[in-house]
Amino acid sequence: MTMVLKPGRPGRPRRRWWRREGVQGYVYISPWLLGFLMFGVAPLIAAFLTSLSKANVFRTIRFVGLDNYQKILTDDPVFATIAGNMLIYVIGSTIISIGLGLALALLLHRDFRGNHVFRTLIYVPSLLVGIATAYLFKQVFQGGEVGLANMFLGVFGAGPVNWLGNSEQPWLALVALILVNVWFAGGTMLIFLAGLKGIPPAYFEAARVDGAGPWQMFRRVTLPLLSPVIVFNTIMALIGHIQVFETPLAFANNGGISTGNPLGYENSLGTFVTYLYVKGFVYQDMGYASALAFIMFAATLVLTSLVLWFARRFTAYGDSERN
Amino acid sequence: MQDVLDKPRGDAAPPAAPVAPRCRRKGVRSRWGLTGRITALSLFCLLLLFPFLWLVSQSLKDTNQYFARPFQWIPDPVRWENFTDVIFKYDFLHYIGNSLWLAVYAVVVNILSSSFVAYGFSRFRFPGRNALFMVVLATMMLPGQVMTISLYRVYRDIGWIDTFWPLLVPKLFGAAFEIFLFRQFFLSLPREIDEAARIDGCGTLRTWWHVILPQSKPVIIVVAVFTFLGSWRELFGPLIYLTGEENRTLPLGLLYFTSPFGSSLPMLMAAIVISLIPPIVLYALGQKYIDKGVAIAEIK
Amino acid sequence: MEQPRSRKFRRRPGVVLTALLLAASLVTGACGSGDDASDDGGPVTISWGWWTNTPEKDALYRKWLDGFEASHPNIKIKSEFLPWDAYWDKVKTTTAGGNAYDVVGLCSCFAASYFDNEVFLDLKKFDDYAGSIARAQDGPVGVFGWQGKQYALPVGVSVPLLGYNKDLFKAAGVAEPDPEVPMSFDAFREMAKKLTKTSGSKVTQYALHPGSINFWESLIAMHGGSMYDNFVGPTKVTINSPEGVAGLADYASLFTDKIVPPIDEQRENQWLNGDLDSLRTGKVAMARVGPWNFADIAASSPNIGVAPLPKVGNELLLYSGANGYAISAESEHPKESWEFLKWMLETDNQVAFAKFSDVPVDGDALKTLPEIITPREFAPTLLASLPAFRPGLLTVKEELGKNVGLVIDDMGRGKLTPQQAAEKIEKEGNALLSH
Repeated sequence: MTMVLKPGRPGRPRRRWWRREGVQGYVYISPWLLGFLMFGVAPLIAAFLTSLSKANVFRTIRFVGLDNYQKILTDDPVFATIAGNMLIYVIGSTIISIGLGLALALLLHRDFRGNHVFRTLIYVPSLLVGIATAYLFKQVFQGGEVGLANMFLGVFGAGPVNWLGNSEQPWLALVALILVNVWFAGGTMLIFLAGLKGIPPAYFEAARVDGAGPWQMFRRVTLPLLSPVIVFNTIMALIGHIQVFETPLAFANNGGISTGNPLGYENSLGTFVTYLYVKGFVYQDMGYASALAFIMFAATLVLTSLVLWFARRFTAYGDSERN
Repeated sequence: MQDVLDKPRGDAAPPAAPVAPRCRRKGVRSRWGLTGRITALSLFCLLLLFPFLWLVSQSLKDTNQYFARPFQWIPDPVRWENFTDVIFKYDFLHYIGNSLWLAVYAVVVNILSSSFVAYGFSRFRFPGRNALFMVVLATMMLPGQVMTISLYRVYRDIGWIDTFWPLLVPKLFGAAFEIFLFRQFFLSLPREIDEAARIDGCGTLRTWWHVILPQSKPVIIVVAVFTFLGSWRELFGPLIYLTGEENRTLPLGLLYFTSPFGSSLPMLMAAIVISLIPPIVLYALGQKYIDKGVAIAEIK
Repeated sequence: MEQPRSRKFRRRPGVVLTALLLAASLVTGACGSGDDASDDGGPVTISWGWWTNTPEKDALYRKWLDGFEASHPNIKIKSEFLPWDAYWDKVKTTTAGGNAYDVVGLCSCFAASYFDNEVFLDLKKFDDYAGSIARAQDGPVGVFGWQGKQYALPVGVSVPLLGYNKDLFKAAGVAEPDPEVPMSFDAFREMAKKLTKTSGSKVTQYALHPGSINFWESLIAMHGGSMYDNFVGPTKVTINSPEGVAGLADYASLFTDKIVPPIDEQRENQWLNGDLDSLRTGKVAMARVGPWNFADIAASSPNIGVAPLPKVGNELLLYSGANGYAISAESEHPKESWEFLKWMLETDNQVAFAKFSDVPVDGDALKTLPEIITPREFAPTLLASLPAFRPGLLTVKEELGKNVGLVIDDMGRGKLTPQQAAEKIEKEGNALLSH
């Protein structure tokens, strides 16, 4: 990716400097660039400097170099637990977001009566505002017979399960947190649907003529043609799930100011951002929290690159014309 | 990065599509398929909407009924006053109005600015383009919590606290997710259409407006849905940058029912039900445009 | 070289650009216009923040502020009431961002880190400080003192009371507790055992939800021990003593006697938070309530009664907090803000305050309590509990209280004996406080 001028435009007079492609490109991205320079860079640098310091919300106390990073990565059992939680949570949730979202999009892709009603209903949970989500899903996984998940299990004679306060099986809380994503597959579904509609019907027709069954059709037409959308959704889902915040905090917190652990029993409900929040804003260790943010950033970057690598390795198509 | 259209080459045959004659057996099979499909979707929706039944039931109770056990699905008596109180006594229409105009502004401005920026990233070559695009993506990866205070200081220093500017101005610069989505879509549009526009005498600006954007209606709708919801949900910005009852937005309005000192959860539930109505209506209206389809280019 | 332009390609992009430019110019235009300057002559506006209770109570609060404006014609109050969590988010962000309210409403529960970072004015620096607090009770004033400085003044006190569901007492055939005289802990325990109901092996009703009262602190103190060397700014945890262990043992007995729900069920919220809401389920007989619940009880839950919490030995002791006001160190109107703080502590204004909110701090205003409180029958309980008030834990080491709670939880689960819990709390706490 360089400044090489596009060949193959012979005979054109030299254009004025502001008409040059490179300059014009900058003109077009200038709104974003301007915003980033004005309101993005300074907070970013400030946060990075904070991560190198001992600091609380109100002030920076002293420079400590990479101490915060070192402590997080080598000497913080809570972080180790949380990193484990996050690995499970992000993988589980991304599978739900992508798998379920894709399945729903495939079911709703073909036009039939009631199609739009289903699409709207499935998207309803995604329309909730944050506090509503927290209250509603807290109720879904509440203990005893009044919890909605337990009511549901009760129909089959199972339960009631202690989802969120279980000291014997603390992993149940994480399962509940992952299951919440079932309700929010509507977002990925929306993009998948739009993507499916973007595949020219001729491809399907052609495959049908070739006698492809539904599975082959999916495997050989839908999947490869949709893979850019899948990769897009996967990356966005990863970024979103790594930053999960409101729901785990609501799940771990039961109202009182000083009761219970905001990260769940033995940190079983801790996520990167809840830990960051508790450390920085409750326990007043903003330097540590900022370092956590950058570590989280690095983890996201690595995961995203992995997805891209995987996509490049296993999607066997694509023109190799790059610039 | 991929600048020319490359329609992925699936293993499928080239799209020379003769229409297959439909035989009867196939019709029967697809009818069964349709029934199965509808059954599966209905069951799933039932599961999905189960908490919402609870929500509606609880929104029609008084506080004592709300907490009473065992749980009663059908409130007795039904308290419709929760809804009228939320709307009239608590002035929710006003909050909805505030949230609505902010969201509509966000949708309009964000679509323009994000598509503008995405056009730059997808159609021009310039030094540092890939690196800058990575920065766009990277801005999504750092949790905002660690930057709120320094951002607040920036706004304070330019005198924007207690004004709408911190909420309105950033939308002019585009948003990462939307830029990303637009860019992927633009990359999938054939370059030939730009070329044709150029030959027609269009500058790049007019190409963006007259050629690229009209082709992008479906993706614009998708972006509109996400931007609308993003703004509709935003709590923190309006909370810290604005003061005064007249500026309260809906997410903040909901929180007023959650006070630990005299919470009124039935009203909260009624308010949540009310808060769902505008986006449901808008979404139901807008979603038919999604049928037009969006092609997204491979990510590099 | 230019091709003839087709007409339809005219105009519109220009319109968009103009709009964007216009927006941009509006933005830059806004930079210049700062806040309203009101240096001389005209009234000064001070910003003021508090958390919301209910719209009705907020309106009464505002009316109280109107009283201040009436007596101070050249000071206006720009008030903001925000929901609890949102309020603290805003106070923290705006304080750290150097733009806090002039007068910041404060709960002692979250005050320590603000005090320790000196983001508020030391009120002792004002000339008439001593006079302004002359009639205020020492306990609540002490809650806002920090290392010899006074960063806030209390406006109201809160003490926890024992709320109970009268219906469940009647159903169990248990007499309602005396509204004025605290029961002994042992008598309380005997009474409570009758209020827990089981069906088969399952408990269907619990006598007490301890919720967020750290009642073990009181039990230890009433046994003659103390959790910390000092609750305000502790330097040492002193729980590991015979008295401390005895207090913890009393607390642990609530679990072994099935008086309170098991910890896991408390944490999963099955019996709600141990507040008024728990009582409303009709499955919890007793829980903590406070003056902040009174209006709600009067309006919608006539079946709720109150009594003092139980005592050990001669004296009831309750660790609690106070609500009050601080002045932002960056305030441009410290004098006017101080006027407000002085005004709020005057007896008449304290009486007016107590009519819709917390228990007054002013000694004389306190005497009027029986006449002004609703429901009126709660006044004796409140007055009997008030002398038990001791300042609750106030420390920058926010983890301290949290960690103690987690060890207590494990004791409630039966994983630790009271002795082991005391040792663990003391060891962990001191490690935390020493560095």
